[in-house]
Amino acid sequence: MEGHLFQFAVLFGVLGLAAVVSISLRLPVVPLYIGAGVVLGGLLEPNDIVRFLGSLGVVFLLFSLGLEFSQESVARAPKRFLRAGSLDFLFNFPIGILVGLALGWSWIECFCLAGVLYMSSSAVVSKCVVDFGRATRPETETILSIMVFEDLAIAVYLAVLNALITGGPELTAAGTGLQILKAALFVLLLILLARRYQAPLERLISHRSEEAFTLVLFAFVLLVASSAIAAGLSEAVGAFLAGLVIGSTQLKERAARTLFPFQTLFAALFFVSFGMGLELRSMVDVLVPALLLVLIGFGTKVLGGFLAGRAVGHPPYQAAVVGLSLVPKGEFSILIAALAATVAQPGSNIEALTAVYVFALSIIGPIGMREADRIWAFLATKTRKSEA
Amino acid sequence: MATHETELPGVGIKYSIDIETDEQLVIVEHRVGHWELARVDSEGKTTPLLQLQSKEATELGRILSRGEVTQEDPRKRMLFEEFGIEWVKLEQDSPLVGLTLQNAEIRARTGASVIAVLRPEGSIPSPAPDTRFRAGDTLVLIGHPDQVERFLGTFTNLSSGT
Repeated sequence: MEGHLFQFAVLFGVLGLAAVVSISLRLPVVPLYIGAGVVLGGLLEPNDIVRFLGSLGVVFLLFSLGLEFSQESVARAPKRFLRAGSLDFLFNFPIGILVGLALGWSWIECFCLAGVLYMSSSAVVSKCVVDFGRATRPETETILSIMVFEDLAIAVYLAVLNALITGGPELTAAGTGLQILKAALFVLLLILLARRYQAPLERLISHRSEEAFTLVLFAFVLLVASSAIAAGLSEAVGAFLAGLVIGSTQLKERAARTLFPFQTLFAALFFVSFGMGLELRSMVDVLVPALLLVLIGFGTKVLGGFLAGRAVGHPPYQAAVVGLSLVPKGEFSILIAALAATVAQPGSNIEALTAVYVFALSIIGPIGMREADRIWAFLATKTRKSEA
Repeated sequence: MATHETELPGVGIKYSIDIETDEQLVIVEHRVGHWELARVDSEGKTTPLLQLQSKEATELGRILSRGEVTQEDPRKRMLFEEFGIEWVKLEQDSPLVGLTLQNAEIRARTGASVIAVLRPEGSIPSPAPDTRFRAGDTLVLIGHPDQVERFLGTFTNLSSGT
């Protein structure tokens, strides 16, 4: 008992320090959590409690993603949402498959790498928008609609990835079809039930007592997450759907406020235990391919974002800011890497590769976004000189 | 002049007002409560103007709307799509003073309903039919704008236009 208490004291102490450092450096906190995990990994063994609480962290991350998912922005700006979002997808998803194939990886690993390269993090991006004072700029609407598209893509992607993983290496068309059918039925049933019984559900969960509300909300989220597993989806997808359901009720703000502290605690444990599973040596081993991946990932994100910005009518300068803003990477790449590790071949090292990739991009990404004006001014004078 | 409202997912709500000289005044209401104002020119170049805390923004709004809504105002309203909720303070000379909710027949005469009576010594939500109105009570009414208008004309000297 004291052993566990002390272990958690150390874990949360180090994580708290990481959070303080990230705030003073104005960088995303996720890579620092992972870094803390790598350092702690030499000293502490991650036990089942940490892992379990970490998996709750994933559930709450996806729940809040579903909760914040803006159905309104999909309905109000469908052109921007679809056109810009799909350009971002087309430029960044297939490239991961190509790189994976070039490395001689299996299909599942390629699919994972594609996800790692494509997924940005809406939470990190919207935080950067606020921190860098970009909320009033015209291109911000486009950036955030692309993030809404990515959020939806994450849920669909995780469902497909889970089907691929549980399907095992000998994937049959019939088996996959059945999986997808089951998953689709589950989603449909949940949405219909939520629509039909929205008022009773709201009454059931909402209670004046903060205590009762917290407990019943927890039970609801975990119930949907576990029934998603039974339906062949992952708990993460279930949690996203639970978030969508609550997000369309009056309880949205209250649920977000109540669950935020738990999400913070458990998600931090998820990232630190991911870090504890990494060896420094394996990260050094993949340094060169990982940095190449950073170049590719950065390049395709900026280019895809630039074209997406142009496609919805932004002038080149604003489109360039869109491109640079899409780069910040975060938690979802790590989530995918953790899932990928369960099916990866011994040689592929996808966890270490993703860790280095996320590390590098979550430093380069926000800086690129912050300095977007200067980068553009620099490029503009260069081209003017070369024209003259 | 046109005002556009867009949602900024994860950030807040953005209002843009087209002003003369092809510029836009952009106002962002952050979810966490503060406000940000900026000027955007026709090329999209953005000049940040001001950051306001929630209270400061309310004060600015009060001044810009020429003080039409203030704490001291005997009349305050909250408009929804088709109906409104209105706070109306009863003066000494209101014909309602001394009547009960039942006798006053507010609903029958104006269409508006009293949903609460606010008093310093204790407010009464969903007042019972025998609730007696006193001078100084603030009635909370719900109804279509014309019903509320009828109420104001019948029972107070506060009808709009004055």
